[in-house]
Amino acid sequence: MIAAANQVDDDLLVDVQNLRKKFCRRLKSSLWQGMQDVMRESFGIRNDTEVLRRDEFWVLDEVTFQLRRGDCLALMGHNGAGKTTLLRMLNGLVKPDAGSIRVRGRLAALVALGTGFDPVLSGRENVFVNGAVLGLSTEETERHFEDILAFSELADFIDAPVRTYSSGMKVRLGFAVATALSPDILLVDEVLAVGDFSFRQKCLRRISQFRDAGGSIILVSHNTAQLQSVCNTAVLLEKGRIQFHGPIYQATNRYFEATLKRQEAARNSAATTREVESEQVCITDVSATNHEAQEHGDSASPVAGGRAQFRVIVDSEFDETSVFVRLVLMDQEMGLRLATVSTELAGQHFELSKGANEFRFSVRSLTLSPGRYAVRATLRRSRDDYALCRRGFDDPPFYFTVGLADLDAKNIAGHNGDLMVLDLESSPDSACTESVCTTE
Amino acid sequence: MQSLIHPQRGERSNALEPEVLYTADPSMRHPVKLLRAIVRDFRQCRTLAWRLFIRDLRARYRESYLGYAWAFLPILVTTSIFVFLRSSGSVRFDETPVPYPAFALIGMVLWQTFVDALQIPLRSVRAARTMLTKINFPREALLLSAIGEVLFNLVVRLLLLLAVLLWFQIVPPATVLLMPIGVAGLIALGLILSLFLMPISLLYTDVSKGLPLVTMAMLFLTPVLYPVPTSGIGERLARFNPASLFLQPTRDCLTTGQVLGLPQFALLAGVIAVSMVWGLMVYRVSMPHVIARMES
Repeated sequence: MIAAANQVDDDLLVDVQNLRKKFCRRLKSSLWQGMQDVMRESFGIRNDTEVLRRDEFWVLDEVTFQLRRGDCLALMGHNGAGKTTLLRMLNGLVKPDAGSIRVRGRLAALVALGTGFDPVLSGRENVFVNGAVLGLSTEETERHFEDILAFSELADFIDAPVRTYSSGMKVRLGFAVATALSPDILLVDEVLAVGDFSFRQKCLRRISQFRDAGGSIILVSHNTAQLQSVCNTAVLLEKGRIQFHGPIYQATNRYFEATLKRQEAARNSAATTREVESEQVCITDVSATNHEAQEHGDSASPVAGGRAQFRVIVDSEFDETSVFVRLVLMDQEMGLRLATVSTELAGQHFELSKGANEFRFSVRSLTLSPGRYAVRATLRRSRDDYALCRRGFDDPPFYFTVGLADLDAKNIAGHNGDLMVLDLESSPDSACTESVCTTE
Repeated sequence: MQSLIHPQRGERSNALEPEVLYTADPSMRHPVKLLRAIVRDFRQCRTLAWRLFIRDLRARYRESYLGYAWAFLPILVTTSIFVFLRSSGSVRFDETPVPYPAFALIGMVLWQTFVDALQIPLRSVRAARTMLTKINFPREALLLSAIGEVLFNLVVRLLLLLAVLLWFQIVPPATVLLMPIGVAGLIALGLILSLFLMPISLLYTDVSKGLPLVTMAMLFLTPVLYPVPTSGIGERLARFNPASLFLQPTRDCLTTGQVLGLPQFALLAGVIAVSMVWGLMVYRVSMPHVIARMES
């Protein structure tokens, strides 16, 4: 039956069906239950796998998904959602408690690079050991040695003992050895979080090359920008269950909605403490809306490349003749500053009065691609630039979403993974230089 | 240069690609399949085992001034202490068939080989825990590399033993040719115990902490450094101690020329073979459960 199914779907590389895995919270119980499992397994006794024992919970529960040739799947979820457990099970390190995993083709895992490196041995010796651990024969490692060395950029240090390496150098060597593998399926777990920027880019490029050559990838990362640039689909895990399975864009939005909920809870408690601390001026909300829609009394999200209006709500306990607002737009993880919008630069100052205030200002072309963004907001007094209120620095920021414009504007929405969109001139007269257009 | 990590394009999937299925079903229920997988992995992991063996060997002695001498220094010291105690009259043993220092050293070399076969696999698998939790490689490689280390130590010690035999001008009887069988038995016995202790040792530290104590006690309670007592509790202990079952006949091969009867030998060999196979199966099937409990 299964064989027949495989013949039908030749491109199905990973098939996970109703996968469940238990996990134990307490170490003592966990070890003892481990002993029980080992005893049962040694005598071939079937475990009563559907029943939770003491201190156990489902770390993965009814997980079902498939990976086809050429698919690049992102595994998303907050810490403890079960991502790493799932990856370990796909890699065959841990056994399911129920359900099944079927893997076709060679699978390689880029996890904990440089595992098995011996600090006393030289980099060269470790390359051979690591290669063997990853399943390469001595000849294969020898054949790829020059490339490994070139990729790692460690030619000067290759004969020094690995314990003299920095942690970044170890990771570089580890990744370089892994590049000699030629798998069908690549599992990547957070390895791109380490190393210096240029090396991370190099690794990411290598992974993209692998994808472009038709390889399949399962990638775990907390960096959504990275996930978006590599993956096309995503599985969003929450407490061991699949919350969402679909296009990466929707998944990242769902992921950030969940993050937002958590942070809002945190902010609410933070906000109350702030007020208690007799904060006299407080920015209570920052939002962005579609400027055109706004004029029609609508409050839709701004669209990529479109005009946007920002609305800042401020509660004050005193009057102030002139203030201005400065917003710093950042990616949703607040790792990158994208732009600063200061009303002062446009000569726009506001009068702050006791009670609730609403300040509005517009941006002509919001050149951000669709997605969710974070905002840091500062309210400053015009006469001395004194910050009356700062939000999003030590406390959670505000968020706004940029939507996709209507059909014709899709051209400017950019490629998956882009952060910005550029508004191309679309008029034929100005778009062509004379020499190109003379034939017209 | 074309991307190194790349799927083998054009090579169609159906024929060559391995297919693996992971379920909750205990693998012990399909013993033939399990054994096949073990045999396949033993074949596949030879390169890896060799690399790990060389890595451990180099790493162990690179930071050492005395180097390989550490393979025999401990047994040399223990033997010397007993030679001293005996000559000073502090302890008294029955007469030995060859001069006592040679007799004791033969015993210690054989004993230490058994202890190595018991302890080195446990130690090296425990040391490879991070690798086990991250990378799916044939776990049998760790066993092979551990056996390599046992054999390496044995060779170094045999060189020492040879020197001592020459010094005392002892010419072993022809039965010395049977000695490898006895040594193999000792190693197999140690390895089997090691395999069954492995899952426990990976979960609880008690095994690695307690084992040196147990082996030390066994060393003094069994006739390693002294001849088999002819009466009393020592005689009974010696008869039921699994290690001395192999140790005495092996030493006899080198000294008196007495050999084990064939039925006795066949029985022992049979028990060893069956438990070895089961031990290897247990080692393999317990690994996913143990790894699930280790920190990731």
